[in-house]
Amino acid sequence: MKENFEAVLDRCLAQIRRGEADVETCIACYPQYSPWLQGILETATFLEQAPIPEPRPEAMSRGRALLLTEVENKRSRMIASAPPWRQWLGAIRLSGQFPVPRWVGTVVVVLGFLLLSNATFATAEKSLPGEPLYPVKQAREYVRLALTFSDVDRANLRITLAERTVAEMAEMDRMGRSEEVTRLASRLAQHLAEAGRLVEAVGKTDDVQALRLRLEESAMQELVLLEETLETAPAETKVALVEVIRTSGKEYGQAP
Amino acid sequence: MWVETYVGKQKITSNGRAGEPAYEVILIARAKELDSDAWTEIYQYHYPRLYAYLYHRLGHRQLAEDMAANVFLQAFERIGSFVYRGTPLSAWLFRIARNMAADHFRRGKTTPLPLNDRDVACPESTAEEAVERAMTLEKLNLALRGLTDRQRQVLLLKFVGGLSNADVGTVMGKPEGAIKSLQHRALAALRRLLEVGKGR
Repeated sequence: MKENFEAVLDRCLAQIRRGEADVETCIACYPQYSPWLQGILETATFLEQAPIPEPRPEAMSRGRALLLTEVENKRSRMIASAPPWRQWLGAIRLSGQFPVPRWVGTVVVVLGFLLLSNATFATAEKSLPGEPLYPVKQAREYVRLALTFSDVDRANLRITLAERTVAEMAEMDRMGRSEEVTRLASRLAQHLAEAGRLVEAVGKTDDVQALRLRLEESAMQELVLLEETLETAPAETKVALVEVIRTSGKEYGQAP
Repeated sequence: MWVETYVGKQKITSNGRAGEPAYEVILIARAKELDSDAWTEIYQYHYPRLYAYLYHRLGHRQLAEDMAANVFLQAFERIGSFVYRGTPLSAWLFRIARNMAADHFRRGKTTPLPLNDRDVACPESTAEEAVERAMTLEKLNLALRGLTDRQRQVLLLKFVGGLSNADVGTVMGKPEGAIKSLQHRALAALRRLLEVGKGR
């Protein structure tokens, strides 16, 4: 009974507040609760319609000025303590003139990073084994290989990498770094073997004919360079070089 | 007037009406970005009701004005941690006001209610109307003082603050059912007190 009355009272109060009913209408709807409901609803109406104490305009202005001073102070502190690019972005955001989403800041940072990365990659491309940026160059090679899906493109890429490895080997040989020459020779053999396998896998198409010619030409140049290197190479490097020469010779021999 | 802004990655569009949930989300996001216009809007909309609540609660005009202003300063300090989860900003502000008033009473600073017709003065009203308003307010104040603190709070938050039962529950830390029950008892008690006042 009590619970029901509370629900009825709440419904009536909501209807009166929304202007959908008055006290009389509500009592007519729930005669079983009259006159108790009438007394309560009249009290609620009296409360709703009672005069509301109003603040003095000067007090309200004073409070608003205090609040806005705090907002301004915090804003100035935040802008002053931020790095210049954030100050610039923050000034736009905080001006409230443009609805700049938060992710704009992230995009600016990523773009900056990419620009820096491009410069890093360009420098890394010229690096040699043992130099700080050489691992970046190698990582980029792996990524390129992983992201090349067609067999023809992969074979072309392997040939390009083989040519680059030979150039690095010649440079390392000139500098007398025989350990690096051995390591590079092993990588070169890997590139050539993989290029040969891919060429075989592709079958007989026009693309493959061009690819075979390129592989042959590249293998021939590498063979010449490797043989030159072999002449001056120390004993410990010779075994690796001979193995690579054998692979290059094989690829050269496969060409039409 | 349609208003749009980004809250995180989400773009929110609102009809720009004060109190509308989407608009409140936008307003809160702007307030967090230290937008002065947003704070002005929040202040202008909520200050009068907070003042009225505190006036009845504290019984002192000057004190209520200062405390209402302080509610916004505290809200400004804490806005960073405010997350909109459907509870309106008004409920959050009233909760701050309620806690401030409770602190005030805890410190033992109770003040008598100075009934003054200027407190409810309305620029358009005649002198007679002003007197009548003051008398009604006096009658109401006296009756409210006869209620328990919780009964007084529930009526003030609902009828002066304009909050829903759910929001009153949020402010007082009670479930909605308990608020309905408290509201019933409070209105019944107020009715008896007003009846007694009539007889005097």
